[in-house]
Amino acid sequence: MIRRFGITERALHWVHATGFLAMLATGLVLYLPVLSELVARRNLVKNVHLFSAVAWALALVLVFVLGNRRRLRDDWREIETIDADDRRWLRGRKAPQGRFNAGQKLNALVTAAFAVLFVVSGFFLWLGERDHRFLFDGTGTVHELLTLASVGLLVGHLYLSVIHPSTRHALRGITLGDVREDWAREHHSKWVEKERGL
Amino acid sequence: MPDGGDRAVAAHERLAELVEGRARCEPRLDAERDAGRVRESLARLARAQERARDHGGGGVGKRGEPFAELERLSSARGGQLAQLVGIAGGRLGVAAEVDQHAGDRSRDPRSKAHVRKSGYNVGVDDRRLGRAAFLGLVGVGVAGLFYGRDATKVVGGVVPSPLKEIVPTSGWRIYSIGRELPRLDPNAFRLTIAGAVERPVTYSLADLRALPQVTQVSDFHCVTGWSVYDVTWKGVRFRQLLAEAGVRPQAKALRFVSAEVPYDDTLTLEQAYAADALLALELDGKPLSVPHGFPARVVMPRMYGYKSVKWVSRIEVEPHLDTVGYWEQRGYDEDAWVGASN
Repeated sequence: MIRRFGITERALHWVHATGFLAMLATGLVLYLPVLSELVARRNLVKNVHLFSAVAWALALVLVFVLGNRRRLRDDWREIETIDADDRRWLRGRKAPQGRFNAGQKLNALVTAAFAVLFVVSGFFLWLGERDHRFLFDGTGTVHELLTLASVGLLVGHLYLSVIHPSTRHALRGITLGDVREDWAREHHSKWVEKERGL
Repeated sequence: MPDGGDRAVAAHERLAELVEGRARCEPRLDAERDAGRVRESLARLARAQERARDHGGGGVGKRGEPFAELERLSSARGGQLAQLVGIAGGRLGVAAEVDQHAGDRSRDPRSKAHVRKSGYNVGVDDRRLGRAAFLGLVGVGVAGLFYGRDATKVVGGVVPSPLKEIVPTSGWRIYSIGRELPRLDPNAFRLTIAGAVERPVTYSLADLRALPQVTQVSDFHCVTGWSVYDVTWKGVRFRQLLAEAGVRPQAKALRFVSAEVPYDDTLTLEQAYAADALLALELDGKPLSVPHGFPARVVMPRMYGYKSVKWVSRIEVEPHLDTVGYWEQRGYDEDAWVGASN
């Protein structure tokens, strides 16, 4: 076995996942007429949605404050780095991958950008209702498009992490922290070489 | 002729510029020495290139001895240059150029040997790529907040067709507070006007349609941020609607009670008599659909949409201004003028 994710990284993932699912569920009730009618009580759902958002943001802050920030910084550095191998990989060719493959990097970059945009657009949705000077025409649409794109991203993410036979071992990494070394060698050879070479 | 030597020299020149620029900015660091190294390497490259030109005319594929020297020189510098690029403060593009002519694979920053030695290949441009994707996405999203008119219709354009059944794709968003939208029978429908009036009146839908009708084009603004522009409404002005019942002198406000219990909201009598307020029966040339409040709804274009009560089944004429509507009890403005701030 080889260690892939520390407690901070796993906490970050699951805090984000929990918050996202809570906001997605309540958000879809507010957004889709079918669900609005099914659940009704719009005001309650709205309050739960807002409460989830605040709880999610605070929990993320806690992870940063209490967690291993150095490790998170290193993760981000790796994720930001789309090197020549990654670019080859993204073009569908075989190329050795680091601890994150290029797809995971893109997923992380997009997820992070979406999180920022959800916060910004959500904040202005909240503020605009209370102070109409901050009511912008596109705010709701940005929030909705983010929701739709996130659902697409989530479906792909779940498929690869839970269903697809060759990749779903990764789920163990993000829950328990370690993965089989032979699996890691196959999917993340550059990382294993570096880890074992040191 | 795009010859490897030219490219190498160009890359070196640019690198020299960058490193020297940095040396001027931050003389405390070892940048001065780095700049010297790059200058030296540049001079050697230039000499080698000159020799190569004299010898073979620079033709591609004619790789004479001076060419071998040029290659050796430029590749020997590969690893060192990759380091210097990092030092140079990360201007875009330079590492890629250096990369192109670093011939020796073991010194190529992309090669496995290099990875084994130094961990990941973290060329500056590579990092910028991911960061640019992240920041670009955030930038586009933030700019999207200020996308102008008809932003709500954008969603309809990008949603795949199987989803069009459940995702709202017109400019409208339908918000309801009840378990299901009131589906009122047009034959059984009655609208009662009561309260501070001379005589309470009850209208059937046919009665309402028999009253003098007006058509107007106005915009609809929701307090949650979306708007629908140029909506055509047809219906009855409130002055006409209340004429038969006769409003008493002490009357101050109208309370519109929706068939969607417990939704209600109010307009002062003055607001209801505004030139563009009406009880609408038609939207864009057709009878209101159920989601839009069939058979009758309030339209008050200059106030946010929660004032425009749908499925109106009763109008209470009130001698006071105390009644607080459904959303106002939950924090919204009583006077919901579009554009005014709380």
